[in-house]
Amino acid sequence: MISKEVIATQQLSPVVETIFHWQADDPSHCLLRIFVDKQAQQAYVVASKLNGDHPSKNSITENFGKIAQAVCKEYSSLLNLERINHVTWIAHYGLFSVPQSYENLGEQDDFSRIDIPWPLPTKLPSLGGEWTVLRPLAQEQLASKILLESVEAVVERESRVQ
Amino acid sequence: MSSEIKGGKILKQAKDQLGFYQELGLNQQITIIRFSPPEGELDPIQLAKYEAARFSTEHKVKTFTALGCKVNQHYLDYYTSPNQFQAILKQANDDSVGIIVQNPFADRLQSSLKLIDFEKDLDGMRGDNPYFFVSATSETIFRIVEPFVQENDVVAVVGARGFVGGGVVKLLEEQGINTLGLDYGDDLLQTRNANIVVSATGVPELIDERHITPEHRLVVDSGFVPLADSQILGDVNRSAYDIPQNITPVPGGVGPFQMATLMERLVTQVTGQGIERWQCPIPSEKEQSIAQKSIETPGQIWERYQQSINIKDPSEQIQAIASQMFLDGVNPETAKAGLLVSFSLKNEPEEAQQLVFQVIDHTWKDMDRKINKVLKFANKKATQKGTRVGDDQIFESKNYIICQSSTSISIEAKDNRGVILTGNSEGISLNGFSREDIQRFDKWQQKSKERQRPQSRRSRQSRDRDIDFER
Repeated sequence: MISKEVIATQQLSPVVETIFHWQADDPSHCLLRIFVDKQAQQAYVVASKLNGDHPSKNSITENFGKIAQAVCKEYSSLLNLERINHVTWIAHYGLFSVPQSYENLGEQDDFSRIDIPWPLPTKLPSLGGEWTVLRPLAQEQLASKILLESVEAVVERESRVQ
Repeated sequence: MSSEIKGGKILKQAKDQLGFYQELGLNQQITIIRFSPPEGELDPIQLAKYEAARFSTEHKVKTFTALGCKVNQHYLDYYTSPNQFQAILKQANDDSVGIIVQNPFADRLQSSLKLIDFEKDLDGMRGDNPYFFVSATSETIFRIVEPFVQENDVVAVVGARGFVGGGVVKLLEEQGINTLGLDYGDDLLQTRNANIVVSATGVPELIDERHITPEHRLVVDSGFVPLADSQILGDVNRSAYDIPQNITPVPGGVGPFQMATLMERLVTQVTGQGIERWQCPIPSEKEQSIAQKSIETPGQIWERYQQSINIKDPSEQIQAIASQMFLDGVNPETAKAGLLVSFSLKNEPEEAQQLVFQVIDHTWKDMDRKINKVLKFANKKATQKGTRVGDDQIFESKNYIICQSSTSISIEAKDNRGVILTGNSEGISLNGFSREDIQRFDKWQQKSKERQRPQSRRSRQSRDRDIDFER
């Protein structure tokens, strides 16, 4: 049996961790984290929705296709076909995605996997592909593979840097 | 004691008025979508939000059915994907005249709401809808507040960054009303500086006697938190209910008004006609003067009741006062506190006071039971003997008119008191209902029972019960 400590050491750390603006002409941003498993030639791309953008216009849900394309363009050297043979796309929501209001207290972390063909087709639907919302067990499995620091902590660190 | 602003009568009026449009609604469909809580959710407050969505859906089904609409309900898994959700919304756009998505739902689905056609977004979920640019609840709260606003007033909105509270702030500011938006992280004691307080947080009992003052002209509580023990809590703690001049109680306050708003929205949308909009009843001068007495201490309240009830025997007097206080909606804790300081009992030993407390508790339970009995009997009478008028069953007796609709039942006294009792799934409201009414209904029920069984079977016990009650 593998102990939790062993699992923890196997977690991938992000190679990219940034506030990512996926379209220049219309303000829209998310917290982008990319994890690469060189051995398995796999990448995990996690886009966390941040509160602030217009909820329906610039949501990461409706723009996941655009986000995927912008990420691949921006990080083409990292996410290229020679090095990566599979990308797991994750959309992430939580308390950090909504206004700080009594109404939103209790908002849980919520992860969805979006199935997008690799290599990326030139055209993608607005949702990017078929979404599978991860249930608690699947979330645990994801968390055992990649090291996801709290969004609030990362955003605070990023904003200090900027 | 505060004046309670209740929506039951308004909803009934809306149904009576808009019932005319029933035929227009025939064969029209409304889609209501709600969600299950996420797996492993243990927080009772979060779970209560999903339960509140169930309550709200049931009320909407009854409301729209009263307009002749068919309601298509979807109960979706929390883990529904945007692809699945969007497919349901697209289908609903094709086959429904109105689409409502109940909060709470996962944030990942929020942006998909823009797929709802503008004219079908009855609850203003899109946020960019020119027809319904705020939620029905926000509009309802604004319409309750507006008649109470005086020049230079400040309206505090707790939950101002939320979906409902944000809509209220938007409407108030559009009308140039001074608004103080408060939310998580703010000092809520600032409500004391406002003239009117709106709370739309969904956090049970967040607002209490620290936040509410007798100077508050109106407190609107839009919280609705049904807990596992059948208790329904609002944002405002019961301890603060008697403090402001007017308050919308939970349940029975904002909820029924909101249903009336939704009826209006649907009829306007389907017919394209302007209709007479409901107006919040402002308490009359008489009611206002009673409300002013809310500043009375519990002891003064008790003494006022003592003067009005002329019974000399102390225990009977306590019971009579307690039952009248119950009917008038006085808080049992106020009754007890009043007793403690009332002149006639303050020299009694502690044991005697404990006994009196027990009498009050017992009277409260007893009155509750009796009123439920009246309601049950009235319901039965209207169902079995009533005449169908539109969607309602109407039954008329010598002293009362009982009106049973699909969502509520009301008893109107034929004297000048008007509607004295209204019951719906949100609760029971009394207005001028008296112990005499209970006695009349009890006698009436006994007589009905007697008529149903052969005369010879009437037992001595039954006759004794009549006599006991009369005494």
